[in-house]
Amino acid sequence: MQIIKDSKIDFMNKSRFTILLSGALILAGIFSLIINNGPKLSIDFKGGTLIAVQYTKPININDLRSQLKNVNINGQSFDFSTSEIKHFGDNSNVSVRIANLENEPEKFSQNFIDILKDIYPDALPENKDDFILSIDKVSPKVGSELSGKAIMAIIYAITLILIYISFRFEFTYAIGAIAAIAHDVIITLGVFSILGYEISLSIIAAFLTIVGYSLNDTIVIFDRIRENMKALKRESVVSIVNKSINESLSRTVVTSLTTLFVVLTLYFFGGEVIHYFSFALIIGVLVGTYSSIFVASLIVVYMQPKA
Amino acid sequence: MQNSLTPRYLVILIILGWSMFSLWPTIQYQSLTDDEKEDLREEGTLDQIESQVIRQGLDLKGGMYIELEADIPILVKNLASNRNEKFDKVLNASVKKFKADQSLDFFNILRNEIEEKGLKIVRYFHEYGSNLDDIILALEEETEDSINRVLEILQNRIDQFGVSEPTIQKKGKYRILVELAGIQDSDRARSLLQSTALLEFYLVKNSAVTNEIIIQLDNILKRSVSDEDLADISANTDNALDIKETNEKTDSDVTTIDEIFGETESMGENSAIHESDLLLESPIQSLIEFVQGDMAVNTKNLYSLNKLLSKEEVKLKLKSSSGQFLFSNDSETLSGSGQYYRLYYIEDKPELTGGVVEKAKANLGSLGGGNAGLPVVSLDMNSEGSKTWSRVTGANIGERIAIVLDGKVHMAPNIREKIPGGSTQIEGFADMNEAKDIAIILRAGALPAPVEIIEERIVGPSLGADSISKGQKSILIGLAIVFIFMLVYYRSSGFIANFALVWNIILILAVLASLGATLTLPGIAGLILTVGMCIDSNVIIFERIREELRKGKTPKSAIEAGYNRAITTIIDANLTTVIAALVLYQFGTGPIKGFATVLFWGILISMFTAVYVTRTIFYTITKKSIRNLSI
Repeated sequence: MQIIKDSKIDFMNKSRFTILLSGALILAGIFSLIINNGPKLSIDFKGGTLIAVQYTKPININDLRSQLKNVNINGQSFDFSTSEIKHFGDNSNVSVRIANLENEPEKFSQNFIDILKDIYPDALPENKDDFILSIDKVSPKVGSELSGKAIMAIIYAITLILIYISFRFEFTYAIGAIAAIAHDVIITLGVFSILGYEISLSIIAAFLTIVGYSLNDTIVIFDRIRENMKALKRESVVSIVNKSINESLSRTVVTSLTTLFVVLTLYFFGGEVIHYFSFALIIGVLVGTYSSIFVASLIVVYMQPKA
Repeated sequence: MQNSLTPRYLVILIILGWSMFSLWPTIQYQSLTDDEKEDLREEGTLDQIESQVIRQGLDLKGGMYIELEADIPILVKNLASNRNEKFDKVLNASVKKFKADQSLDFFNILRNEIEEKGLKIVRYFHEYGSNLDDIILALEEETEDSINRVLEILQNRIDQFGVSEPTIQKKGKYRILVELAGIQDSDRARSLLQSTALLEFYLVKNSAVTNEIIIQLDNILKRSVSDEDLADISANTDNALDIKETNEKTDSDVTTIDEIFGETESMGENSAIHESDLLLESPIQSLIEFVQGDMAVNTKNLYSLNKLLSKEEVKLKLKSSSGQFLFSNDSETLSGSGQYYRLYYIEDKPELTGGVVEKAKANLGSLGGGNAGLPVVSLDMNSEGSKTWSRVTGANIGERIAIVLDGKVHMAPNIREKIPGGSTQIEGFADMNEAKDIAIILRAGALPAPVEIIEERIVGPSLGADSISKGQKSILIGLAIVFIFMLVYYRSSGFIANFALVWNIILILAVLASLGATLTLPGIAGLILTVGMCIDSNVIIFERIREELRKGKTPKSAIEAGYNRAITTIIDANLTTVIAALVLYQFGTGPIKGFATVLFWGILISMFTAVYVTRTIFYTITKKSIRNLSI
């Protein structure tokens, strides 16, 4: 079986359209990031407490929210109705995200869980240990450290990859590859911002995986371009690049499809904990495949010295 | 090149053989039932097996992850002598700057602040040096030392808590990371970690009383072992009757049991594992040996004994006899084979607690005393403690007193005389180091600095179980889809690629097992992603072979050319992903590290399975020249 046979698509000629498309996606993402004051960071980076519990009946979020309006812990009263409260996977599971509290009462999370238990006493699991799904508590100090580390990780990764590609190919290729990566990460970040999804530690890992995947895809095409540049010295850069993309198109499609299959199974069957992680990867695989052709290769064409 | 395939077969066979070898313990472990695991644990061999299997991360089996940080400014404050307002001002200013920007080093801030304000630091820290540089350096060392002490105390407490496979490590200079699997009561764990250590002095019950209680307990246990269910019920419903009956029985049994005791002692015993008939007859006694006048338990029997001692009916009996069993703090080689813990039967109420100890110091006994030149630990108590101490020692001359820290007996010396004045010397150490250790532990009675929980993650058991089943499900579905796609798209060659993919997964798991790595949910995600990306190498190769075939080459030369041309592409593409994985690993806190480890090994291994193994298979097929290649 073969999906693509002897294709002769003039990819570089489509650049006007693709530049517009990429530009629109990037601008929409950046616009959303600006009006939302940057990406929505999870407690991993901002600090705070995230508590997820499991009831045995579907829970109405608005009802729970009003019940949390006036809560008393050790004589101190709190209003948690402005906290982020949402379903966690199933609609009988609930997660509550609480920002850092000043003067947090002792045993706060335990107290808070008791409050959640008391709100719906007849919807508790038989085995009381099953009620708590997870508790995550991060102090703002750790949060700021992690943000610093995440930024450093991205800088290190990009620098190392730049060095590697400059060494194996040429500097212009490295620029093309880095532009493709930036393109992918900004668009994925934009999609997360538009949909209101959080950037957590695992999403950063997903971003770095996207970087790896996008590069992998880009380099396979670059490799063909390098090979054809040597073999077909007389042809124009545009036609060599077009030919290379077409020659490796079958591989590009097959690999994107197989990777997409597994990432989709992760998204649909992997459970709540890696739901957003796999969502980021789906966007990443799609955008990464697109960018190796329409961003990375295009830049190589434009930056090639005109003979 | 393809003349002799034997070396290739050998390489592949050796690697595959190795992978089965390192996965074998995991497969064995998986097939064990809970009861069988329990048996192995009692034998004491489970730990060894567990060290060779792929462990599940906290996110999969449920548990608690806590990161603690010591309060450095308070520690420095506690170290200063003759503190005054001027000093506090400088310290507070430093703390303020430190809180504002946590990335700065506290000691640098402190140094700058001291220089700026012209504080005469030697006044407060004359024991630590005569100039600023020396003092800051000494304070830094002292701080690190304190963190190590906190680590030691926490280790003790967690061991007490009874969690399987706890992880306690230092992270960076001033932080401690604790991982507890399967914790339900997170509040208890939290307070255990944050509360101050407890030093207690208990009177040790004399040997006659001790023998008596063991015989009584064995009788209780004997009944419950022979008819476990009945014992459970009676323990819950009619305790009074139960105990009464036991007492009656005991009287008639005393002589025979004493004989057994004598026998065990005279043999000077070194067989560690209990005999089974003796176990049934007197379960506790069979696990205990007598060495140097103390009861001792082989480490192999520790778990079994603990299990017996934690049975409801035993606890009840101990409670009514107002006694308790405690182990020594560390194991030691007492007789021929194996490590032993000493066991003490002591009062259940302490005579004195560590709050009264003001100082503890290791030194040599003064000249003229009975312990001249021998290592001793000197304790100073406050006035209240001194009074009690003098009363207790005066009333119990000749008895033993157990010095217990965090629920473990550090020593149980004989009281030789009444000790007035509260300052007391503990003797009987093997050497100066031991005395120093004890002094450290006594000083470490209270945490040297308050610790703060800065990060805490708890995964409930139901979420963990959910993650496992969903992770397994998505692996199977993902694999199935890829398998079918490859078979449809590349036919027989797709089968070869699938074969390589299966080996890829097995090898990743084998590497994880031999690294003693922990499989987390992100790790599973990494495994699934690796599946998608490993197939890429074969796609690149197959597309090249197809191209070569289209040019009219024979299958044999198309395969040769296809592999040769694909290899540089594969190496370049994979190495960039490896770079990303390495950076992730470096940056990684727990979950991300797990993902990066799997990705890293997955890609490296794919170079072997997807390139080397498949190439060998193709060579084997085309050894006889074939006309058509199914690709």
